[in-house]
Amino acid sequence: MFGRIGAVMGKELRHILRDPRSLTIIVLMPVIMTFLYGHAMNLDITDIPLGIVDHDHTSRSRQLCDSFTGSGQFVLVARYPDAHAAEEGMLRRETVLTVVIPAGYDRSLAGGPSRPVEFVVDGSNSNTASMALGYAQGIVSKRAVETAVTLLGTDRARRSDGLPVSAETRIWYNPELRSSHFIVPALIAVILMMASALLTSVTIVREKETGTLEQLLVSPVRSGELIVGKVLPYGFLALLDGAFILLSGALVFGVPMRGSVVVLLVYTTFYIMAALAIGLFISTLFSEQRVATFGALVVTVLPAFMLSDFIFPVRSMPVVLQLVSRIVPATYYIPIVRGVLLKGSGAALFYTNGALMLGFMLVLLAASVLRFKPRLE
Amino acid sequence: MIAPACPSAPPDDETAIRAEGLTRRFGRFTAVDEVSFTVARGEVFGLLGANGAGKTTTIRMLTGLLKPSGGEAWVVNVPVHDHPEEVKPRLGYMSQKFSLYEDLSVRENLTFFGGVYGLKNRELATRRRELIALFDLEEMSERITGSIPVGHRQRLALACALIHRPPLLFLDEPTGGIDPVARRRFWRVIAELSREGTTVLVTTHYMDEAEYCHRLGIMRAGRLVATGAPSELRARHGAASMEEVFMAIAAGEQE
Amino acid sequence: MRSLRVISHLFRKELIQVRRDHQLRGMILGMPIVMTLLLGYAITRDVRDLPLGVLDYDSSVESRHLVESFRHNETFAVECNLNGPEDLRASLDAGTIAAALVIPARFSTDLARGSASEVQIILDGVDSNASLIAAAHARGIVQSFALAQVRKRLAGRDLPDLLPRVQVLYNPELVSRIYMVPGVVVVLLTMLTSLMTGLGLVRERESGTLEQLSVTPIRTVELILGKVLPFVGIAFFVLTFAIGICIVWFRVPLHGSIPLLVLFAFIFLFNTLGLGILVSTIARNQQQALFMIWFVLIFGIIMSGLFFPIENMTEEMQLLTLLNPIRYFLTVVRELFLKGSGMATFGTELTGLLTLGPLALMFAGLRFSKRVK
Repeated sequence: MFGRIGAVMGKELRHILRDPRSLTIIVLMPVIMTFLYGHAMNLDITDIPLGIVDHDHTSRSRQLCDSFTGSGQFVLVARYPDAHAAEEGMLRRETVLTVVIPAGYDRSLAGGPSRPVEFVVDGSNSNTASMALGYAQGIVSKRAVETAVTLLGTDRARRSDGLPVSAETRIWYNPELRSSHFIVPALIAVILMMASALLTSVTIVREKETGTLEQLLVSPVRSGELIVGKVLPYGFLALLDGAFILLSGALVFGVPMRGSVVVLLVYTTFYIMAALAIGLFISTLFSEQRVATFGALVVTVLPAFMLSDFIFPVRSMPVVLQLVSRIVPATYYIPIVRGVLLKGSGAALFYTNGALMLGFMLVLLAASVLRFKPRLE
Repeated sequence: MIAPACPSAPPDDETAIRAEGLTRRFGRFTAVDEVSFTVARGEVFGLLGANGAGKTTTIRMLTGLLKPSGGEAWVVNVPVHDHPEEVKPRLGYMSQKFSLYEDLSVRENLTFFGGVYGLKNRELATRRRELIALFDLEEMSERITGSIPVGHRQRLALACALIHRPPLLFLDEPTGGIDPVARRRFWRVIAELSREGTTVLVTTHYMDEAEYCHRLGIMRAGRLVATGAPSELRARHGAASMEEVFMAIAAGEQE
Repeated sequence: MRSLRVISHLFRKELIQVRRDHQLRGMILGMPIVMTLLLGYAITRDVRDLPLGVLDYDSSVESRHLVESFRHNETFAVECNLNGPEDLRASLDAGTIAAALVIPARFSTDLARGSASEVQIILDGVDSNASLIAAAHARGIVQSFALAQVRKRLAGRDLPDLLPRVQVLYNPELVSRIYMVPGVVVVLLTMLTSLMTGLGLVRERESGTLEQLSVTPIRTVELILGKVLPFVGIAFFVLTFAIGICIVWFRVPLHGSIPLLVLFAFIFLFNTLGLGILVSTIARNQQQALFMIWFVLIFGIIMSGLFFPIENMTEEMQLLTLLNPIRYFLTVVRELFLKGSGMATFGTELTGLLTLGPLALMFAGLRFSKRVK
């Protein structure tokens, strides 16, 4: 039996090495993705283009401007004569945020009539806008707080900002605040799914199309051996891919490995098995390669990328999509990778996840076998 | 033994097709090697040979599908090797694969190719009806091409090649995979076309079909090794059938 | 004119084929629906409803007020009360909470005495982007709380408005949807036109009918137009559908001019069609064509600014995106939807598309005619 499985595996490996498509997905894609995410897939927002409108022209207002330009988060690109001009600039995509300092700002800080600073924000990209607002509000609030303290009349400040209550924020697991730490683990999930599910489904359908599957079924190879032999090489190669991405993430972007490699390996194997089972199942659904490719893409890569909590939080999605997310194996795998890599989590935390992935694989395997069998008779 | 090349005749109205030293190389492989022959108007000329002898490549050079690596191809005095566009309205072509639109119906295929050859509505409709009747495709006319039997598809492919009444017909292995009865019927149509003045160049690897041609060219490994009428060739090699001619030539080459 | 007749025959044939190809139809209809759903509903980077755990050592009226202000803010969703530092760590590790609020025991007493106290907010920083935004929100909440305290003490005295006023243009509620949904138009148009053109041409090559056509008097220009025009037609149909969905279903209004959008779509189509034609000269069968186009599109879309802002990319990458027609079209579509900008602001985009489009088409067309001969 192992001899026959070995023969099928050997043939499959030769196919893979000769087919530009499989090579692209297994070799080229991980390399390109790794390169891309470091340089293009970046969620870290810096150098936000800033505009300033200063109606006050006092030393205090200039100080405020300086705290913006000196913050390191903004880059001053324009000074506008008034808010209207600032809006026009925003229309021309020159700035994301403009600070409008009203006349009388200086005096308001000394107890005069209230003259709040105004922010005009380009809300198109809500994420960038929120970030810009967050930074800007932080800068302005320092001043506001000093004013409040002055008005209180007494220097009760024991804390630096002087308000009765202050907040100390701590960010765990990713103190360097690198989005690469966030993206790499999930990228592994996507690449693994592509290499396992997509390729498996397409190759089996190709054999169906060319008729060689029939040929094999007539030979002494049993269908179970055939499936194992065909599918295993993709599993191994997927594992290699995962290792590659992990290594490049660690070496190039400093993604840490705080947990145990063995734990990660075991759970990754579960994930790959689930992915292979998906590929198998898809291959029983289609008889044409063209459609199988398309179907596989839509059913495997797309959900792994969009519905698995990779970059887009599932909890913000409508219920229907949240439910769909539950049957995407990547949803269970990504927290494991992130946990092991960044949080040093142990195996015990993920028993349910692991069990679900295995269960997923078994269900799909059964379904595939059921669909496969009638054909054989 | 290689047949002497046809004397280089000056272009005239009676020569429909003239190949002069046609050569085609693919990398280091020479598929067609200095092939020369002529086909008179109204003649049925058969290019005979085994698979891979270079027949298809030759016919594709003559229809302008392939540019020769060397030599010249003249079709009704048009230099096809340089300016194939001029001759296209006047030739009909049927490929080995019966290149038809599998997802269109029989009728839709005819309509399409008729339109592409510039037939206008009423003319197109009339011609289409004619061809459907002539080729006995009435029953199948609304059926999707991919689903009709191969014999009918062959007839449809020929009909599409004839829709614009071309004076020249190029057929590449038109009877591949067709049963003997259908084949005989096919050749009857060809004979009729030839009688009406159509020049027909056919390639085939079926030896028995040689008898249906006025003249033959026998190809072997890219070379034209013999030309002449079937009776001539049989006499020349003391053979009773084309198969024997072939064997004789093969044996002769080995000496 | 003869050419027109030939083209119309090609056009008709193409439409018949599209109608009969059930699987292609499934793709054409299915994909827009899937992409629309995903782009409209799944793609969001809004920081909302972060599960928050509360470790309240004080359990006083004041501390509960503070927790209330967190509950009212849509950034956080108060999940549970934590039992202690171990519980906090375990919950953050496991991911059941994304943030934790720690209120010290002396909170209310400090407040009453008038001294300052400090609360701690711990965030799961795996998603650095989200945690930065959440941190800013959290600080803001605490600050508002503190200022409210100050107001109470200054009862009677007028506390000027110290917090800055914020005016958010174009997307006042700061929802991702408004920014992502117009992307539907771009993605659909791009995918459908390049796929259909590429697959359609390869199918002709596969079945040998391309060769058959090259024997006919048909001219290359007529052939390409005849194959491409039906897809352009379908493209505009899809464009209308996509715009309609954005406006009616997702309620993202189109502030800009529709003719301008159509004009840019038309120019953009040169690029996708060029891609389809180019791929058809390289791929040997439909399935290879599908794969190649998908491969190019994936990277084209990643580098277009749809998911990841171009401003965040490195210098080199930003330069590279200048060669990406999808980037230009996406910008135009977004600006038109969100801001109703006029042609004057689209100088770069217009130049980019007008250069890349014809170039792509010319290059592809040349390769195509060489192959056909």
